[in-house]
Amino acid sequence: MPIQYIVKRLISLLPVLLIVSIGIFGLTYLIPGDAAVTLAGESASPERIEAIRTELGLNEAPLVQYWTWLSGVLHGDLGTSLYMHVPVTTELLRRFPVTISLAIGALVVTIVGGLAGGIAAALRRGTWVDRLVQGGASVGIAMPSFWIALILIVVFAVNLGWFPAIGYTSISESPTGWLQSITMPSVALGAAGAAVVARQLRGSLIDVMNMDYVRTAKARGLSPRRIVAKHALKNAVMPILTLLGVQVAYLLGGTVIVEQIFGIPGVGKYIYDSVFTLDLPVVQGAVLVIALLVVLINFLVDISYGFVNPKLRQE
Amino acid sequence: MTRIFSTKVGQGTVGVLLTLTIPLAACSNAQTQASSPSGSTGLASADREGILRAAAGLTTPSLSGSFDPVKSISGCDILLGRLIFGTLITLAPDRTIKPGLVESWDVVDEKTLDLHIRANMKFHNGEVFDAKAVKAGIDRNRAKDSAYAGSLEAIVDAEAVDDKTVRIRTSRPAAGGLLATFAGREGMIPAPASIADGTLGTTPIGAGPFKVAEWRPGESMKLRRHDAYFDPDQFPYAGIDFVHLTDVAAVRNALLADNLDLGFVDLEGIDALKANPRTGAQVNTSDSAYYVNLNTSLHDPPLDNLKVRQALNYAFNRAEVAKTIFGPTAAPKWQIFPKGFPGHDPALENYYTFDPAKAKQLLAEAGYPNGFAMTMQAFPTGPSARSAEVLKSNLADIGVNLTIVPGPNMTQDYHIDKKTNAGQNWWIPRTDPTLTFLSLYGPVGVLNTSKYSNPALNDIVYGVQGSTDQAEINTGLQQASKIIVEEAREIGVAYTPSTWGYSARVGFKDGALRDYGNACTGADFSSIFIKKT
Repeated sequence: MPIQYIVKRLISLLPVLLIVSIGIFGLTYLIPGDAAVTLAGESASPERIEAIRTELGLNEAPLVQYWTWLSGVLHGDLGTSLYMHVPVTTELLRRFPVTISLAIGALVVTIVGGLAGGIAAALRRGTWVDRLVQGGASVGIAMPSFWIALILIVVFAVNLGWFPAIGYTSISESPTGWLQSITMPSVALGAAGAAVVARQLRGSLIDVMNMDYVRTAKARGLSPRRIVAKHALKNAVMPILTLLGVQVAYLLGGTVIVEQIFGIPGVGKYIYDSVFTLDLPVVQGAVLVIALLVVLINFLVDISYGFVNPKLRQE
Repeated sequence: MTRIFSTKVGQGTVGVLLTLTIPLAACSNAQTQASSPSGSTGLASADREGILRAAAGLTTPSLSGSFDPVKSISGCDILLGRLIFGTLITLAPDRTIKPGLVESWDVVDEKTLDLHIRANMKFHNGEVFDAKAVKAGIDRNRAKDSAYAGSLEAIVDAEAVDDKTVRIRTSRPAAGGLLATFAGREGMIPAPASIADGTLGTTPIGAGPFKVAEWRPGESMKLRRHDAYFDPDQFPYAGIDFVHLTDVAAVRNALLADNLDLGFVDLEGIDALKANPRTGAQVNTSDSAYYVNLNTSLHDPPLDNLKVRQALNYAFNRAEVAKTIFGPTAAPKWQIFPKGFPGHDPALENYYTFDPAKAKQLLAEAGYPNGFAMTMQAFPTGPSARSAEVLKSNLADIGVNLTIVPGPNMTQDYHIDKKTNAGQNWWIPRTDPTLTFLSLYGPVGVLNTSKYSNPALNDIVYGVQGSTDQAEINTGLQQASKIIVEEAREIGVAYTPSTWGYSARVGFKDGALRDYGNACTGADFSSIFIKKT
């Protein structure tokens, strides 16, 4: 793949990132409440609130505030939490492994569940397997992740006691404890993605399986497994790649709710708590980093097209 | 002069009350509490090495971002503060005072208070908890930039008379009132070394029953027993593992899954917890309350008219609202203090019984026969939002058109910017009940925007602060409460119950869980023990 292509794609991301940063900074203005009032405390005088507002620069014009913030971001400084008095970057670095492990777990659920369901439904088209996968996919898409999470907790934590209802164990502390702590959140977060992938792959694979080259392969006596794995899936999976890029964004966004339900101390919960305490630097910094991740992942998905399909590479 | 003092016997503390001049009901209570500090029921079956697993909102050290007591911005900070720092004075379940880190006190005169510190007390880091440390802590707590500069403003001087005695002098008769104040965050004393090295905000070191063993911000906190704490029976377990859970549904699920021992839950979750053999639930009455503040507009028509404010009160069906919206255990708020708390006056119950006809008549007498329009800021969600809708409907029936402005930022929008005529508020009472009057209705109260203040009210409140006689204090609080009710300075809504879930591992010394009123101020962890398995 020409290096110029990658560089060109990277440069095209800059205006996107700028717009994203403006959007994130502007959105925090929509959060009701005033950080200075919250910080000043319940018995603060108007003078004290005004002093804090001045100290935080909240009286500056929005553009000035934006530029101050952006300058810091460009120097790797996402600001300092108004409450914890800890650099946002430090706290994000501490929490990101938690969220990333959850997102990877959910992605595994999405890919494994989606591929298995989609292939099974496509190859057993019209049978009970197909109907089961399609029905399951409809349910998976319709049910929000928080609802799935609550059902999982009731069944597997409360009734069966197989998994903890809350908390997170790091992999370095206990690999089995880690697996136990992220299994249910990963399923809750990845179920909807698996359903979407399964439906998309089913349709895509059915189309591919009706193509001439597949019929030729069948005529040559290749086994169905070889036909699907070696030839059909490679083409059918193209739309799924795009879908996975979108799913990653969905997964990262979904951690805000799922981490709250399972009491997992990741970035999602950090954002959730910070919105309620009006900790604006945290909200801005964390959302910006997640947005950057999403943009980066979509970029990687774009690049991966070239690897999967040489025709795109040549174009 | 009244004196209470206690002597150490074995591992417990036996209090002996000597009444020299005035009987001190609060001290009588304190003496009773001290002589059997931890209760006796169930302690034989207590697992003293057990760890309690509890839920708390530890987004930050409580909410303030710092464990340093003088930087506290939220009443919720007291939850951890009590456990880590302890308080000089403590509160009995009925909100009367009893000894804490000080074992006794002398109210020398109306303006002089002597605090006598317990013997052999140490901070978590081994520093001696003596008069010098307490004096330094009090001076720091009352400093101009402290969060308690207002509530300790009466103090003019603190002096370490000897190793075990701190003498406090006040500018006005307030010596007795300070005792209740010291049961709050104002009575938390950090270790001098942690102040000196500037680590207090993140590494709190006090002389309370537990020291911080591990803190993961926004995730968890492990507290472990402070062996030098004066009463090992008060908290008969080895530590508390707090997890940060602010979602009540998550707390309920964690209790049901046996991942937690104690947590604040929602009313809806009570039945499931009671039905499960592994868990239980309890609903306590509370002095935390929702009410509608009318302070801001007291100088502006039509709310400057007493009859109008009384009409609004008569028009509101608070008894029905309390029952149907806040649950069967909630109590309608008719006055400043609920039943069972000092200052409650039975005569004020049902003072403004729902009576739309009388409300209309009062409006007509006030010159508003066709009603008027007004605005009210209200919490945007939850039961309080629903109660605001009922108030709107009730007022519409007497011709008052209430526009609800949803918004959580009451202090800024209502108290400072005065954007609405009325503001819905949730009040967590302070350990010193007089602070409720001074903050909300006093001449310099930060939440009394209009600064209107009845001189008679102020005299009564300052009188209460200067008294050590619980009966006298109670009468004064009742009189002050009556003035607020008669002046219709607010529209009471409901005292909200506190609802707790617990696991079967947890036992209660007196058969029931005690608390400090709500999820924010927390459970009384000294009412709990862990059962041996």
